[in-house]
Amino acid sequence: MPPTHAPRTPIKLHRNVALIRTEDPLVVEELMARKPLARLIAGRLSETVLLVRPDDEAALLEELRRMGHAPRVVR
Amino acid sequence: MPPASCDDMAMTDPTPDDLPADDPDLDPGEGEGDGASPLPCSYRSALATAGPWRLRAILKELGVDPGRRSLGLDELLADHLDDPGTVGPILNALAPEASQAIGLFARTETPSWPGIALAEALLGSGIDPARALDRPLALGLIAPMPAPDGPDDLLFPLERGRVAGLRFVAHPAALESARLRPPIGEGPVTLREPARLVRESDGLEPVLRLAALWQLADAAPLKRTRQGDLYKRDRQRLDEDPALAGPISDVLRPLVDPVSCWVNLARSVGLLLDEPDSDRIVSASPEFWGEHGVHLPQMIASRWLGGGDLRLGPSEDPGPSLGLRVASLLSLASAGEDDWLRLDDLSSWLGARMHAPAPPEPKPDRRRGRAEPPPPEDPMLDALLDALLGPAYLLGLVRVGEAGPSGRPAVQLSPRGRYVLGLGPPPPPPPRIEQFLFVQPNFEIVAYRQGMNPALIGRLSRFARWEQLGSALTLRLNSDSIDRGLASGLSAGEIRDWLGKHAVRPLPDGVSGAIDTWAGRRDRLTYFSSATLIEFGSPSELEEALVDWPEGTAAPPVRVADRVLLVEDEGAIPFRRFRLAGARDYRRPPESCVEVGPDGVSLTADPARGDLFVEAELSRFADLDPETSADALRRRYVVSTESLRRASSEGMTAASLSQWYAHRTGGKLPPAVRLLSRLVDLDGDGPPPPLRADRPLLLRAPSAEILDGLFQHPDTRPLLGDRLGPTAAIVRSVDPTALREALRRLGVPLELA
Repeated sequence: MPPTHAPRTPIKLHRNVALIRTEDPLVVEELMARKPLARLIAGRLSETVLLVRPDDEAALLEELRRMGHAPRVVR
Repeated sequence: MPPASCDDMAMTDPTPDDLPADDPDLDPGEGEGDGASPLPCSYRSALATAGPWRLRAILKELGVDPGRRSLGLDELLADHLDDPGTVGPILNALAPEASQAIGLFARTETPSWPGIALAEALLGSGIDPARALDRPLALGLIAPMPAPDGPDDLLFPLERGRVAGLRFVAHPAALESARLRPPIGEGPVTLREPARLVRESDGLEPVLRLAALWQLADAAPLKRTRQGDLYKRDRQRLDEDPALAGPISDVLRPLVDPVSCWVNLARSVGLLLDEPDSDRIVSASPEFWGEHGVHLPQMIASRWLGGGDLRLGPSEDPGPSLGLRVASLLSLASAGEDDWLRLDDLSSWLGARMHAPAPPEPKPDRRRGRAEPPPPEDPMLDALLDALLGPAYLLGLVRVGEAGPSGRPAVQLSPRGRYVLGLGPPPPPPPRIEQFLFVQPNFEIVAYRQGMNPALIGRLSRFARWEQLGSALTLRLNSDSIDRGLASGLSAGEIRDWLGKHAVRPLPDGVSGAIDTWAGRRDRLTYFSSATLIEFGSPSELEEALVDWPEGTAAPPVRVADRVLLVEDEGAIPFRRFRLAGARDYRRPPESCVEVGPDGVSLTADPARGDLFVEAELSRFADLDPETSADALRRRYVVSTESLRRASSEGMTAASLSQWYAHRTGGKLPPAVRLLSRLVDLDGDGPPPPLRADRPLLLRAPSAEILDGLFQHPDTRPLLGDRLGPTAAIVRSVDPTALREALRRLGVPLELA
C-alpha cells in the first residue's frame, strides 16, 4: 500500500511588505489618531500591526520620531 | 573590494520635472522604453558581442584548441582565463606599453574604460594606444564592447566619431597585479625653487561626505528611475542636507555638482548599493567601515581616476577630460618627490601629447539675463585646474602652491598620490590624537579634524548624525542615531565608553543617561521595511503550521494576525509542507482586484489577485458584511455613511477614495458611493442642499406627433419640462392655467383629469 501523505496547506506569500509592529495595541491607536501618520498607513492587519505604504518610508520614520518613538528598523 | 561596473557610472542628476518623480502611485518605468536600461558591461557580456572568428583567434593565441565548435567560444575563453595562474604569467610577459594599458584598469580599479578616454590616458603617458592595446586584445585580457563586426572592421585609431560608445572591458584577473609607471622620456619642466604658500588637504573631505551620504541612505533608501537617475524628492533630500551638500571649507576649485559626484563615488566604492531586483539604492552594512574604512581614501581616489564620479550614458565618452586625470598625475610622478611643476608648464607638456578636452557645452539657462561664461582660453589648463585643484586636491593626491615671482599655481604629487598610482609606499599616518571630541550637554559633538581618520569617521557615523562639515565637524546624538548605532551591533555601553575615551571632558551625565533611555525605548515599536508574510486560509491552519514549524537557527515565525505569520528569513519557510497558492511582491504597483456589487455600495476582493493591503484598505472606509463568515474566501464589504465618516476622520478625502477605486476596481467611484461621500462631506465642499419632492402635472397627448409639435412651438415649449415618453411630458408648473391658455390660442382643448 503506498504511503499516505498529509495534504499540503495552501498559503499565500507576501513579500516586501512594509509594516509597523508593536506589543501594545494602545500605541497603534496613538499612531492612527495622528493625522499626518494615518495618511501614510494603508490599514490595520491586526490590533498590533499596521500596514504601511512603502514609498513613504522616510516621512513615516520622521513622523514616528517626531512623536517620540524610537522605532527599531528591520530591513 | 566591490568591483565597479558600467552601472557604477550611473547619473544622479535631478530627475527632470516631466518624469514621474513625485507620484508614488506611478510605476517609475511607465512609459519608458526598454532601451533606456543600462547595457550589461561585464567581461563576459563584452565577449558575447565578439564573432567566432575573433574568439578563435584569441584562443589560438592562448594555445587553446577550440576544436570544430562555433558556439560557446566566449564561455571557453572566459573559463580559460578564469583558471588561477593563467593570467599572471601572461601579464608578466607583456611589453611595457601593454602593461601600462592594463595598469590603467588595475590602478583605477575600473574594469570598463570608455575607449577614447583610455586612449587619451595612454597618449598622455607617451604611449601609442594601438601599440599598447593590440597585444592585450589579441590575448583576450581586454575585450572591446561592442566588438568589431569583422576582421576588416578596425578598432584603431580611437577617434571621436569613429568609435563612439566603444568601451574596453578587462578580465577581472588582469586587475589584480598590473602596475603603472611614469611616462617614458623627459618629463615636464620642474621649478628651480620650491613653491610658496603650500597647501595640502587632509584628504578626509570625500570620506566625510560619503559618510553623511551613507547615513542619509541608511535613514531611507534612495530610489532610482530606470535611467539610473535619482527620484526628484530623493535628490532634493540630498541637496538640502547641510552635511552632504554644504560648502566645502578647504577647496581651491569648486566641484561641479558635488552631490552627484559623491553619490556616484559612493556607489562606485560600494558604500551605496543598487539593491538587486529593485529600484532602491541602499546603504552598505555598517561592517563596510570596519572592512574598508582605513582604505576608503585610496578606494575613492582610484575610482575617481577611472571616472567613478561620472554618469556616462551608453554612448558617452568623456575622452581627454577623463584621460588627463591619470595622465597628469603620472606626469607629476615623473618628477622627483620634492620637485614642483607649474600647472601651465604641465598643461603645455600634456598638450603636446594628448588632445585638449573640449570645453563644456553651454547648457540652456532658464534664468533670463544670465550671461553664458566665456569659453576657457586654454581648455587643457582649465581642465587641469578643474581636476587637480578640485577633486585631486580634496583627495590629498597633490600639494598646491605658488610658483616663484609669478605666483602661478604649481603642483606636486603627494605621498598619497604616489601611493594611489602604485609608485610609492603608503603615506605616513597623521599624528594620533586620542581626545578630539567635545560632547556638549545639548547632545552636539564637535570633532576636530586633526584627530580624525577614516576609521574614526566610520565609527562615529554609526551612532552620531553628521550635521556640519567644515574646519570643525559637528555631529548630533539623538534617539534615532543611537538606534542606528545599536542596530549596527554596538551596545549603549560601548557607545558611552567610546565617547568618554575620545572626549576632551567627561561625558555629561545628561548625555550618558539619554543614551541609556533611548536604547531602552527601542523595542517598543518595530518598522519592517520589507517583511515576508505567510497568509493561511484559516486561523486553525496557521496554528497547525506553528506547531509543526521545524526548529532551526533562524528566528521562529511570529503571529501578526489570526491568519498571518511574519518570518524574518524566507529561507526558513518549510515549503515542502505548504502549497503556494499565490505570491505577491509589494514593491510592484497594486493590482485591480476588487469587484463592485450591482448595488454600488458592496465590494468584494478577489482572493486570487488580492493582497494584504486590500482588506486593510477596505476596512478604512467600508465595513465587513456581518453575514460574511470568518472563513469565507470572498469577504464582502459595504460602504455606508458611518464607514465613510470614520474614513474621513482618519484623513481620507474624496480624491484619495476616487484614486483607490481607480487602482483597485479599475473603475470610477460608483454613483451610490459618490452620493454617500457627498452626504458625509468627504470632499469638504459642505453638505449638499436638501432634496425637494412635489407632485408633477403630467400631460398626455393623443399621439407623439402632437407632443412633438408642442415641444417645438414657441408658445408651448417653455411650459413643458422633461419628456417621459412618446406621448407624455411633465408640465413645468403644477398650475395648468398658462398651458390651458397657450393651447386655447392654438385651438387645442385641455381636459384636466
